[in-house]
Amino acid sequence: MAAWPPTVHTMTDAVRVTAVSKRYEATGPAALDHVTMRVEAGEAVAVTGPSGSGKSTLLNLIAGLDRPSAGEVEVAGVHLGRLSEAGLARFRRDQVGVVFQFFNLLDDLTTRDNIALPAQLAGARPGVVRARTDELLDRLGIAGHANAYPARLSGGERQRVAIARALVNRPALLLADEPTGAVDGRTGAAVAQILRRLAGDGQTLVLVTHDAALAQSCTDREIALVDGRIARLEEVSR
Amino acid sequence: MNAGAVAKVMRAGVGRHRLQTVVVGLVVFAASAMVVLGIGLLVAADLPFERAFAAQRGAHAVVSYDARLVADVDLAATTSRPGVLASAGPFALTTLDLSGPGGTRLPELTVVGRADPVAAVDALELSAGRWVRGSGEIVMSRDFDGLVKIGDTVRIADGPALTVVGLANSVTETANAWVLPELVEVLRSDRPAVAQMLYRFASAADESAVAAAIASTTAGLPVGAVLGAGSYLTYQLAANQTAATATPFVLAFAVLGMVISVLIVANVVSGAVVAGYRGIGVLKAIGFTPAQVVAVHSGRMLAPSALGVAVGVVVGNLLAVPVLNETARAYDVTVATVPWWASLVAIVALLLTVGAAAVLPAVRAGRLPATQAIVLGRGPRPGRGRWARRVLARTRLPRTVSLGLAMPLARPVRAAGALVAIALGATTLILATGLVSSLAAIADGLNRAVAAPVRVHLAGGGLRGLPPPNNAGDVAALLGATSGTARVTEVRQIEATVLGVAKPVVVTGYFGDASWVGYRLIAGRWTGGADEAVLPTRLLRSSGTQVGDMLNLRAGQRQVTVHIVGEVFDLDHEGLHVIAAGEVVRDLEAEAPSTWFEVMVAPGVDADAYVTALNDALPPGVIAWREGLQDDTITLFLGLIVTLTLLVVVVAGLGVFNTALLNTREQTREIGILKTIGMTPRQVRLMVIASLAALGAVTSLLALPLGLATHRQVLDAMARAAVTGLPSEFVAVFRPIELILLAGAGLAIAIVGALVPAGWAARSRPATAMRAE
Repeated sequence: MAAWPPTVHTMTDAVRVTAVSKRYEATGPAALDHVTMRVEAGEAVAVTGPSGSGKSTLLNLIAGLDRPSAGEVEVAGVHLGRLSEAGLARFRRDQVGVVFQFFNLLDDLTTRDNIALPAQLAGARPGVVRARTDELLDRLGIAGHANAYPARLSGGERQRVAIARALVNRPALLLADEPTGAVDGRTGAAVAQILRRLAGDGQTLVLVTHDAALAQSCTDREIALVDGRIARLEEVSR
Repeated sequence: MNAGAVAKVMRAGVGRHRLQTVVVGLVVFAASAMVVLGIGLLVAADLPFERAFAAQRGAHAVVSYDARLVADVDLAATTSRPGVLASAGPFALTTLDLSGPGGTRLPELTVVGRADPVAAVDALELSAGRWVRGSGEIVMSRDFDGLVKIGDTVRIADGPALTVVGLANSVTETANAWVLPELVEVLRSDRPAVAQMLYRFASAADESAVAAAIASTTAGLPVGAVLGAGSYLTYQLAANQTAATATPFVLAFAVLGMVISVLIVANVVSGAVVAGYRGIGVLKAIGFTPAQVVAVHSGRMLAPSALGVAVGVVVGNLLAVPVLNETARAYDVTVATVPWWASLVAIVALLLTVGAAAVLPAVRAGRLPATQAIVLGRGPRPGRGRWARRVLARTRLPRTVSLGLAMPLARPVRAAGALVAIALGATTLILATGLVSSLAAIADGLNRAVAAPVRVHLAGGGLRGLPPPNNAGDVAALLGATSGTARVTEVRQIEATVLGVAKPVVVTGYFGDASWVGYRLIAGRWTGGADEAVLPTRLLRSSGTQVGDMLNLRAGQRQVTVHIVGEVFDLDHEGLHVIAAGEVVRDLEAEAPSTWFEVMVAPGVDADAYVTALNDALPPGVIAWREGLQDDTITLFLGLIVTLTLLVVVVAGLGVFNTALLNTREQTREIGILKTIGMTPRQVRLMVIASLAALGAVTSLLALPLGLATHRQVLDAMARAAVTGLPSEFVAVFRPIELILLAGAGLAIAIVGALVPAGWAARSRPATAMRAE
């Protein structure tokens, strides 16, 4: 059984993206074109831009969900380009938590089972998994829905489950891809509040959004992408 | 929307789902080859002799005449006697002692002079090479295939060398070899001239009809002119008994193979159509009618199936050639071919299966509202098997495994299809393993080649009416003195009658302790006293006796009563055989016409080398040979078992492969999510394999008793056909370790079938998987 919780790397730079390009087809247009950026540990950064600007592609590369066509991605001191697929999976499991716009919960698992899954895959002991799951259920206000299936939950509740699942392995980096994109305004605000609280607690966060207000309320810095290139880097004043 | 649009969408579907198309084509290909082969085997096992006899215009009677007493004109007159439909001959005949390549001694051969293999009666079938053209050439009977080959030289004792130019088969074994007619005169030297005539009669349904026809045909010829006459019924009985023995297991394999083939084709095709429900919904949304939807999807399945069935039928026919050649050899008939209609049946049956399996789910989808079809096509309906997932999540199983175990419940019908396929595949594997062991034991029980590997026959042996040998004592002394001899027993054989048994029985007497010669007892014990005998099942039944009873044997004026002490597994002499102490034979007839020795060689002695050395030392007319470890029939059975098992297991494996493929494709999103949250490729592979392994484990529980029961049933049916009981060791052939391994057969098929799709699922990148979804 692997050691749990996984070791958290403490580095000045949580994310270092160097001259990264991504093309989905060899002769097609670049979804990302020579992008370089850094995120410090404990920092909350928003990646903004219009639809098709390459935000989600950048997030996929940082999460190790995809590989760049050129350049290098380093997260929590790990050079992702040097990892095998299995290494990338372990990296995602141990170092990264990802929150998606459409939640991506497993429909046939209960709230509790969805949240516990990454820890179980990491080989955590059942008692430890249970304690951590209970803690997150309480912290995110969804303890009353522990045994409910995703279809019975509201959009906001589903996103809380997704956030809890992303946090269960105490990741070095939390990535959120349009986390309020599929929920109504009031629910979106609640989700934003959770992210703000996490950022306030020192959780390194990369938030992909086209919602300027969300970016401003949750993050310290904004990186704006346009047509796969960084158009602007600026500090957020809250 | 016109037919062009339907065809275009159909073609696009075939191209877009290449892997699915290939899998459907492959499964249909294997299934059609299986069906063709299955039908071919079933037909070959049905009255093989009658079909070969008709095809070769076999002789109802083979009559040998003393050429010194009858002229050719007298023989020609016999062909126009009432009741004679057709005839061939006269052919000059002689018997010869030949030695094969390397000096191997061959048994005494009947050699017939024929200028042409084709005749009005007994058309010979050349299985290899060509017919004789010159005086230095000989065509050997196919029975010698293996001992001699085309181009070999055989040498006649004190005579010329002849080159083997062909191998041929006569359906009623009218000769062992053929040469040009003029050569027979040269070869026979000072032996009497014999003429062979072959007849077909208007009435030859049974022994008495054949005997009456022979009597009528040869009436009026000088006394002693007829040297001997043989009936086709002897060969018919032997061939059909072999076929009847083979039928149960051929039937079991052919039926298992065909059922599993059709089932998997149906499962694969319907699964592929169900997986395409989303596409059906989209087609409906843009205006396709339900009929057009059905046309698109059945066409998509029928296109690769048509190709698969076309190639499968060709391969099935090609595969059938060697298999059926072996069949023909085992049944001792010339050829067994796949009937033309077997291909037609395979084509029609499989295309109908594919059509039905595609049309039914397509019709269902065609009737659904477009949106519902799209939702159903995205994957299994959420909620199925949730209880199981919940229960499994609470177990101590690794999470990867527990997630996998619940996967089949999302598609219960597909899982059930895979379950049946694996179960039948595993059953076949268990049946095959059991039969291979049983048949090996049966073969050894029949030829006793392990216990008594060397046989030494004296001249005149074989109940051919020749004078009894007089040098048995010398040979016994020589065998006793030969280095490498462990045990030796003299055997004598005569014919006798048993009251109440219509046909004569053969009495074989063993002198001294012969408990080691390898007969397998079904009940009772081996002979111990001078008046004791063991009987095969058929004679026990024919004589209405059982172990413990007395049996009266009569030969000429002598009568001997034996005490039956055992039931023995033995099919020699059609089961009308008494195996007794040597004294029984001696008491019945002082000078037994047939005598041989059975020899056990000492441990570590090479039996072949022993035989070669022995033949150099033996006097003329005495021949030693190594008893074959296998006979043709058993070899055929083993070959068939391996071929059919491979086909069935491959088809079952393809079924599992397809199930795993559809499951992983449908659950692309779930697998993508799992990878996103950290499931490693190895864990993905394990999860997918576990999903099928669960089915495999269940099927193992079903297949083991099913396979053992089928093995028992097939053996019982074979034994019934051969009118024999079976020693328990022929049935209880599974060792504990084998049972344990075979219990995992279903599991193994499931794991092997799932490996490749599991690997594909493991290799896909999560981002790609999510995008694909």
